[in-house]
Amino acid sequence: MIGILIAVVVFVFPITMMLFYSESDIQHQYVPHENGVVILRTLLWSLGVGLCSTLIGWAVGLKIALLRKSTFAIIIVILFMTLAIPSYAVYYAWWQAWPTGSWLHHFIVQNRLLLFAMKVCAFLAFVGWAWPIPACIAALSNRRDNGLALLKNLDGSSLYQGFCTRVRAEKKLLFASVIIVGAITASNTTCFDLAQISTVGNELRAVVASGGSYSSAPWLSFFSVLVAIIASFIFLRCTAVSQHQSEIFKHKQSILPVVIVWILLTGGPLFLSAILSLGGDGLQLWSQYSNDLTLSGSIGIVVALLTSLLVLTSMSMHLSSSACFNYLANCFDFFWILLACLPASMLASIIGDAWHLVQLEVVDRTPVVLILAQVAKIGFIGSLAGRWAASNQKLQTLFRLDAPKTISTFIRAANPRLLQAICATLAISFAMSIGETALTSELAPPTSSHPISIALLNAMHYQRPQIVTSMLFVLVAFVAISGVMLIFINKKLVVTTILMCALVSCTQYEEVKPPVTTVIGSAGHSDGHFMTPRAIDSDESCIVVIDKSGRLQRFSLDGTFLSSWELSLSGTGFPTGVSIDEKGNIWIADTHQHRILVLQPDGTELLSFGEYGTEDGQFLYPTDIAFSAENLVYVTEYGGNDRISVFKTDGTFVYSIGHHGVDRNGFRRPQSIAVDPITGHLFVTDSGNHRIVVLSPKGEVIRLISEMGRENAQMLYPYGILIDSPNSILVCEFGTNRLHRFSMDGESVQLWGSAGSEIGYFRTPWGIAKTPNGIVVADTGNNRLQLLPDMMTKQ
Amino acid sequence: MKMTPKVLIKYVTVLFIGCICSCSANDEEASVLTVYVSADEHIAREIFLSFTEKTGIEVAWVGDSELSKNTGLVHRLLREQNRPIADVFWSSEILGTIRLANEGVLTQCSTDTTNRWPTDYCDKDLRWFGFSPRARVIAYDPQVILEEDLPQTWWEYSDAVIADPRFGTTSTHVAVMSQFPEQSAALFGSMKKPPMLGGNAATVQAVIDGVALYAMTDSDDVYAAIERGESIAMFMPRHHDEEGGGTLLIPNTIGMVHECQHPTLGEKFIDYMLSEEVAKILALSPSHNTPLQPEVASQFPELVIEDPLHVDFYDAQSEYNKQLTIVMDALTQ
Repeated sequence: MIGILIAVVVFVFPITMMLFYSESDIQHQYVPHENGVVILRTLLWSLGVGLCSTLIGWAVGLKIALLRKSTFAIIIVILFMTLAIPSYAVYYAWWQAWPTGSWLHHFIVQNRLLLFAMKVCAFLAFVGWAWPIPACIAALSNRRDNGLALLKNLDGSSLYQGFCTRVRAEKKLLFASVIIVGAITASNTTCFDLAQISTVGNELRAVVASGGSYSSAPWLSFFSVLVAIIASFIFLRCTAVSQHQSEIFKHKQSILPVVIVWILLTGGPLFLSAILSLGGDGLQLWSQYSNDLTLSGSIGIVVALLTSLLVLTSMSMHLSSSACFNYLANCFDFFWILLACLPASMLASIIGDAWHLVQLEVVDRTPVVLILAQVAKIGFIGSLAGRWAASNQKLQTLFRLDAPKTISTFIRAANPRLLQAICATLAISFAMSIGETALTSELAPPTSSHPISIALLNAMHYQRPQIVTSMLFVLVAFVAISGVMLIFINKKLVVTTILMCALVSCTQYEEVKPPVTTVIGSAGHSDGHFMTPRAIDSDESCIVVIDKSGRLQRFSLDGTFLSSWELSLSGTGFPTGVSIDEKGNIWIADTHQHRILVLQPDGTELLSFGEYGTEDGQFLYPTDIAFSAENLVYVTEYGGNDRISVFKTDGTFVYSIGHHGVDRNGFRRPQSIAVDPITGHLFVTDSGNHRIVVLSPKGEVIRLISEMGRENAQMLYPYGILIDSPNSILVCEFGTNRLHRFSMDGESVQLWGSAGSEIGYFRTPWGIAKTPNGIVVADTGNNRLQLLPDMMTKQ
Repeated sequence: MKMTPKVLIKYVTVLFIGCICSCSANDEEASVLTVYVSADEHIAREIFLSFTEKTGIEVAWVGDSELSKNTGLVHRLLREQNRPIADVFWSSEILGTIRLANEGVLTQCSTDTTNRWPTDYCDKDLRWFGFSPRARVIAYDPQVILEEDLPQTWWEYSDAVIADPRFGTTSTHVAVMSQFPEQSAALFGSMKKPPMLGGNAATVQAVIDGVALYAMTDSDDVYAAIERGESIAMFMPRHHDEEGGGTLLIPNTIGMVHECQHPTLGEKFIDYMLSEEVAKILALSPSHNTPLQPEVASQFPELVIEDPLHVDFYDAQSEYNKQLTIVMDALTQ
C-alpha cells in the first residue's frame, strides 16, 4: 500500500495533471537544434556506449560468475556501489587525467585533438560508469546456470569457439544489456553537457528552459519516451523473477581480471581524483558548503527512506500468490524503470508543473517537489531491489506455503534478504540523491543553503577543480563505506543487528517462540556450516546432518563440529533422510540414487540396497528410514511409488504399505516416518496430503491426524516427525514454519514458531530429531540447526 | 506496539514531515526574502550574506545552472506569475528582465535610491534597474596571437566559438546584433561548424585548450581564467566606427516581482543592490563588473569601458525571437 501511495504521488498524479490540464499560455522562445541530427547523434552514442559496455561488462561478468560465493558477493556490492556514483563524476575524474600543463594535455593541444579528447573522455566515462550493469546481469545470470562454462571446459573448444558459443547462447541477454545501457546513456544530460555534446536530453532541457513544453519538440519527446519504454520492457523481460536454482557447483576463479578492469575504467580515476582533493584547497568544501551538505544529506535521507519503502511493496507483490498482484508488481517495476530512463528535464517539468498547480505553500517553499522528482528518478532502485529479493526460490516457496498476514510477520519471514535489499537501496539511493544534478538544478526550492550538487555543477562549469574533487571525495568515501557495510550485512554482522533491533523494538510478536535455543552453523561450505541442511538424526552421542552440498557432518550434542564426509554426487540431488540405528550405524535414504546406503560410525560403507524401479524392493525417491523393535526397517518414498517398503536389516524386502493417492490408504510424498517403540505403530508425515497417517505395523490405517490449513489444529506440508514422549508426537511443518505437537490421539497440543531468521524462528524446517537433552531441528531455509530443550518438560 | 501498515504509514509520514521541516525550518519565518538569481553563485552568496549581516533579513534564493542560466529562471517566473514565489529577480543580463517587465511579472519599485537611478539603466516605470555591467569581449591566447593582429570589429570573428545563443548573455548579444542585420547574417553564416559550446566558461576554456582561436564571451569569464593563471586575454571589438559603437555592456538587472509576498523586504534588497557597497563588491569580485556610480568608478579606472555600444534593449527584446531563429538556422545548417 505504501509503495502504491508513493507511486501515485510521484508519477500517477503528475502524469494525470500533465494530460488533463491545458498547457501554459506562456509564449515560449525555443528554437530547435537540428532534431534529426540530435536524435542520430544520441542514438549513435547510446548504441556505442551500450555495445562497448556490454562487451567489457559481459566478459568481466562471466569471470565474476565463477568466483567463490563470498568474493562474488563482495564484487557485486562493489559494482552496485560504483553505479551509485554519478557518471559525470567519472567523466570529471577522467578529464583530470590530462590536466592543463601535463605532457598528455600538451600533446593533445599540439595536435588539435582536444575536442576529440573530450569526446573520448566522455565515452570512457560512460563506459567506465555503465559496464557494471552488464557485468552484474551476466554474473547473476551465469551464476544460476554455469553449464556453458562446464561444457567449454569439457569439450576443450578454442577461445574463439567458446566466444561464439557464448554469444549465440546469450544473445538475448547481450541485446538487453546494450539496450538498457543505451537508454540510460540517452537520458543523461550532465555528462554530455560537460563534453559539449548536444543530445536529446540536453535539447529537451533547452525546451523547458525556453518556456516550451514537450509538444514544442515532439520528435525529441517521442524518441525519449520510446527509448524508455523499450528499455523498461526489455529490462523486465531479462530480469523476470526467476525460478532457477541457485548455484550447484563450486566456483574457483581468480579475482584479478575483474579488479584490473574496475581499477582501469572506474575506480582508479575516481580514487586518484578524490585523493588529490585532499591536497591544496580541497578541504574548503567543508567550511564553505557545510550547510549545503547538511541539506543534501537531509534530502538524501528522505529520498532513501521513500525508495526503501518501494522494496517492501515490490517484494510483497512479487511474492504474492495472486497472479493479479504479480502482474501489478511487473507494471510497478516497469513504470519505475521507465521513469529512470526518461530525461531528467522531462521529469522535472512534469512533476514540477503538476505540483505547482496544487498551489500549496509547503510544496513551493520546501524540497518536497525535488524529493518527489528524485524518488521518481531513483525509485527503480527500490523496485528492482524488491524484485531481486523476491527472486529467491526459498522465499517464493515459503510465501507460497505460508503467506504472512501482518507486516511484522512479512518482515521477519523475508529477512535477511529483505534487509539486505533495503540496506542496499538506502545506501545507493542516498548516494544517487546527493550526486543528482539535473533535477536538483531545476527544482531546488528557495532556501538560504542549497543542495551541494548545484555547487558541484557550477564548479565543473566554472573550472573549479578543487570543489569538484572534494565533492567527489565525499561521494566516493560514502559509497566505499556503504559498500563495506553492505558486505558486512551479507555476513550478518553489525548493521543487521542494529536494524533488526530497531524492527524488533516496534514489533509485538503474536506467535509463541520456542524456549531458549542454541544455533548450530550458518550458510557456507566449510566445516560446521550448511548449504540447505535437510536430513537429520541423532543418537546418544552425536547429531548427523546431510545438506544439499552432499556433505554428511557430525556434531556433538552441544553443537561442536566433530567430522565431515563428502557423499558421492548423484547427478541430480542428495539424500533427504537419515536415521541412526541402535548400533550407531548411519542409514541414508539416498534419494536421488534410489537406494538405501548404510555407513558404519566411522564412515565405512556397510550395506547398500535398492535400485531404480517400481517393483517390490526397488525405489524411486526414498525419503526416510525408521526401525522397529522387531528389527524391521521401514522406508518411505515418493515420485509415483509413494509407499512404505519394509525390509529386514540385511536389505531383504519383506512387504510394502500404501500407494500414491489421496484416499485413506494413499500417500502423497510421505516425507518422514517414526515408529512408536511401545505400540509399534507407524507415524508417517503424508506431506502432500497435509496429514499424519498412523498405521499398524502391518499397514492398517488406524488414524488420520489433522487436515490441510494454517489454523491451530491444522497443518501444511508436515515433513519431519518424531515421537518425543510416550504421549505425544512432534512434527515440523515445512509449509507453516512451525513445530506442532499432537497427542497420540491426534489432538493438537502445542505450537511454536513462525517464519523468520531470528533465533527461535524457522524457515522451511525439514527434519527433526530427538537428543538426550531435547530436540534438534534442521532449519533448512536458514541454513542452520536449532537445538531446543525438551519443550514438553520445560513448559 | 504492533507494527501494522497504519502504524508504519504513521511513522513514515511523521519522519517525512520531520525531514522536510528540518530542510526548510529557517525559511518559514516571516522575514525571509526570496530571490531568484542568475548571477554566479559564489558572488551571490557573498552579497546575500552581506545583506543579511547588515539588515538581519534572511535570504532564501534559487539559482540556476550555468547552461540555462537566466533563461530558465525567466520562464520559471513566467510560470509562477499567477502565484509568485519569488520577491525579487536578480538577473545577470537584461533581455529576460525586460521581457518579464513587459509580461507584467515585475512591478514598480519606488524608493529614494531607485527614483534617482540613471535613466539609461532603468525602466521608465521603475520595474527594473541595471547595475554593474559586464562587457562582451573576445577571449584570445596572447601567446598565440598578438593584440595588434586582432580584428577590430565583431563582424570579423567568424573563427570564434560562442556559447549556445539561446541562453544567457550570448542570447542578449545575438539579439542586439539584430540591429545590424547584414553584418550579423554574414558573421553567423560564415562561422565554422559547430561553433557552439555549453557556456561562456566553456568557450574560454576552448581557447585555453587551443581548440579555438577566439571566443565570444563575457569579461567575467576571462577574468576568472586569468585569475586561475591561464594564458588568456580579452579584447573589446567595436560594432561600428561611430560614437557609441564600441562593445556591448550587459548590466546586471534587478526587479520586484508583482504581488510578491514581501515587497518591503524586496525594496530594501533592491536599494542595497544599487548601493555603492555592492558596486564595490562586484568590482572586486572575480567577475570585476564595471561600477556605474561615479565615485566607485573612480576607484576602479581599469574597469571603466570607453565608448560602449549605444543600444535600445527594448528593440533588441522585440526582435529576439526572429533574430534567434535566423542565427540558429545559420549555425546549425
